Amino acid sequence: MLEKFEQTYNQHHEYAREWKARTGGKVLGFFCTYVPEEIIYAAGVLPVRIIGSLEPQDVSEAHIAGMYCPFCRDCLAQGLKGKYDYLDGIVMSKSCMHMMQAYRSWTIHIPITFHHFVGMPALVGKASAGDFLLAELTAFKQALEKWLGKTITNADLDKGIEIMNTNRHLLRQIYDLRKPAPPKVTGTEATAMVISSMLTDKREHSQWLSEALKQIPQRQDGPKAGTRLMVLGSENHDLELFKLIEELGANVVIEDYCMGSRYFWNEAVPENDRLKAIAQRYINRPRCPLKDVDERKRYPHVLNLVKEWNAQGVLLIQQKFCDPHEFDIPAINKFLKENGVVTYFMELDVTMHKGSVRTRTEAFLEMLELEAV
Amino acid sequence: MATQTTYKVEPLETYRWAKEVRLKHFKEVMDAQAEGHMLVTGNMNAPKDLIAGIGHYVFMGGEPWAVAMAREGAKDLFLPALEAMEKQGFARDMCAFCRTFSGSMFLGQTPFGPFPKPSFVLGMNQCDSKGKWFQIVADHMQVPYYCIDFGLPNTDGTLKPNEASIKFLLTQYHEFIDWLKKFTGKPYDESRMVHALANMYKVRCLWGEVLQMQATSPSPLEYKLLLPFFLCLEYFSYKDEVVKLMTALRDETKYRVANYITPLPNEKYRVLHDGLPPWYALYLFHFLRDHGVSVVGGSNHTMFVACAQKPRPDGSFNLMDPMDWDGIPKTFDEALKWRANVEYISNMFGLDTRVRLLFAREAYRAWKGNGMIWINDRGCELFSMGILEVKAALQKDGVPCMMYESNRCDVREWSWSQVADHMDAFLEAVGVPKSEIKKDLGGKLGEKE
Ligand code: SF4
Ligand code: SF4
Repeated sequence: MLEKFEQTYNQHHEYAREWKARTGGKVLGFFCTYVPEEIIYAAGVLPVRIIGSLEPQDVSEAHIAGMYCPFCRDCLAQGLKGKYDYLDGIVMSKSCMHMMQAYRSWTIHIPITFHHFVGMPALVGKASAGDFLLAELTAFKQALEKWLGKTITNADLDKGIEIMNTNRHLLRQIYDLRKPAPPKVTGTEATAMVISSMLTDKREHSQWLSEALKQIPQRQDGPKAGTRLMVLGSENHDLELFKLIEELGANVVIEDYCMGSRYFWNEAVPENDRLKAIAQRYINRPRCPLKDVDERKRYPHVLNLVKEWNAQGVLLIQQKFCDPHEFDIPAINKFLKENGVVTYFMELDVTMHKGSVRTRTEAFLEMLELEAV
Repeated sequence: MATQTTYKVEPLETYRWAKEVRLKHFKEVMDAQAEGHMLVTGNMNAPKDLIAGIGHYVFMGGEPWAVAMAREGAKDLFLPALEAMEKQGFARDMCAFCRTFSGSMFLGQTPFGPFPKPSFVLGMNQCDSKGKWFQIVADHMQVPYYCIDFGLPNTDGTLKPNEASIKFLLTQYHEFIDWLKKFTGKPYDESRMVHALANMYKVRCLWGEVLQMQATSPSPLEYKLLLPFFLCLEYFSYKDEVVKLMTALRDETKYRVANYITPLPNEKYRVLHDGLPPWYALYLFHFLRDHGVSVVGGSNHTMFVACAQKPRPDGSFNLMDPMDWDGIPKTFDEALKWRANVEYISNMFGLDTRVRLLFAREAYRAWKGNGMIWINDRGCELFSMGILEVKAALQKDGVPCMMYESNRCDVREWSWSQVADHMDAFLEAVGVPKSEIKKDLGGKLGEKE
């Protein structure tokens, strides 16, 4: 059962094509996890996150300046190469400028029938941030209605919220299984579950998760106890990286990034105004660095994860040229150290060879062993 | 090919004045505390003018101080500041204005004396860097940080205002004023604020008129000459002195147009430079001048043109539509509303590639360009955002284009030979005969200006 998640992740284009053929429905690609998938599900459309291939490419160079991150270039490259030719449209919510550029270039060069930008406040702590987001969600809903030629009702929105919340709830249960020593699921497996949830129909994915939750407690092939690590930083959807770290005897027990816990951590709390409930969910979710501009709320959340999941060390990974994280890493590193947490910084380029990751992770694990002595 | 004509060249009197205003400002910042004035630091588009309601204050803007480091502090502070940031663990590819300014803070030194401690930090979150940059400053200085968020909304790619976005700004302005009253314990005099905003409005009207005159051939001014005004426009336009300065600039430009006075004796070609220049290598513009190429404008101007023009009701934009003098805000609400609109337009310029293209095409047309240059600034996502798409679109329009990669505020990323590689073909496309294209900077390399 557990292999299903990684398999689906590896064949996500095939999955989406097959889903379309099977249901006759439309598929929308989204660029950032601040896109309100609830509304997309409510519209009867399948949202799938646009991700890169992790391979070097040379087609984005003409569109995205060289100092933008390899991830956004990789994403655009997939579109330019026709890998996402099954998408009926794309959606972006305001995140970093790197991703915004990939989105904008996509709308210029790749034929689609629908594209929409959802404004997302950065200073989510502002009293009026919710009102602004609500207006943007209303505009998004209206745009979808116009495109699809149908009305999205409250009942549809309830269904959308329910689909998302169920999946979030189940993923939280999976993450709880990473708390014991040894954890019941590896970091690689857990990450495959999260990423595959972004790429599949969540109704189906939730069934797989429920099945997995039944099977995991009985499994005999679970991970062995190792050094417990937290991974923190920029976008990363490279399962090989987790495998490599875990092959060295570590257990990745928790992480904080948008391909992991941040994606599903909190649920939408139902209220009369459905769009308001959805807006509040995105306002209140664990913050990425770009949404942590006023009071630093991200830091206590991260420290809490370290404690609750009993991580012995934190690996700070940063996508090359990722400004949002470049701004935060020195300060969060200092903060964690001040709180007695051992950290190690690693810069990554998702499209490049991972040879040096092994050596650097080994060095960190040795460091942690020495700390323990 | 354009024919050779020789024009009258006279120095721009108000240029010296603008430079004085700039230097006076640096001194004001250094003396602020000793003189009992409140010192506030923050980024370019922070709503510093709203502080006027509580009385006199001095604003230390991050970007002009970074430029001062690149110029006045070039010899002994610029590189150490960049390195100080790296020692703190910050990456070398982050915003170079941020690294220079914050590096200067970590060193505790500016070109004019010790780095002063502000009373609070005021930010406007626009690009990925501005909000985060001043978070670093507030953390290190251990002072409160107040940041305003620009909510970039969904739009149709024109300048039609988005109600929700403007309302979001307005609400935050009100909240900031409330916070300011509490923080300072001072009463807020709305009329002072309205006066400051009316000054900003007037300065933009004047600036619009000046830029309109730039459409004249030969152009009365050029890019490099406009730089110190640009600074005054963006940082101190709430001051009475800047209204006077800009009035003088407008009048002097009128005089220059009437008398065919130009900065170049031989303007033959007109190009635009998009993006802020490499501040430590402004001799690049002398090199262009030597070829009869006048840089008549650029995106920093167009961006502020945006603040000096009235978009049409359909969201389109015409460089030759300046703001109405009779729209000067008179009440508190009018002033705030006008400010939010200006903020909205200038942010849309940077953050939406479609708007950027609209501006580039319009500026090229209105200023009668013969070519367009972009700096692909490795240290600034905002100014590099969309430029490859804009360049490709203009190339399709048949515009001679050139792009060079550098970093406006990290001298380690400047290479004249790389710039020169693109220059030959560009100058030829603009119309400069191949035989007249110089290979080097004519001994200007290494000179400050
Ligand atoms: S890795 Fe960083 S820069 Fe790249 S898309 Fe993600 S947040 Fe943006
Ligand atoms: S606009 Fe560019 S230079 Fe200015 S703060 Fe943003 S990244 Fe830095």
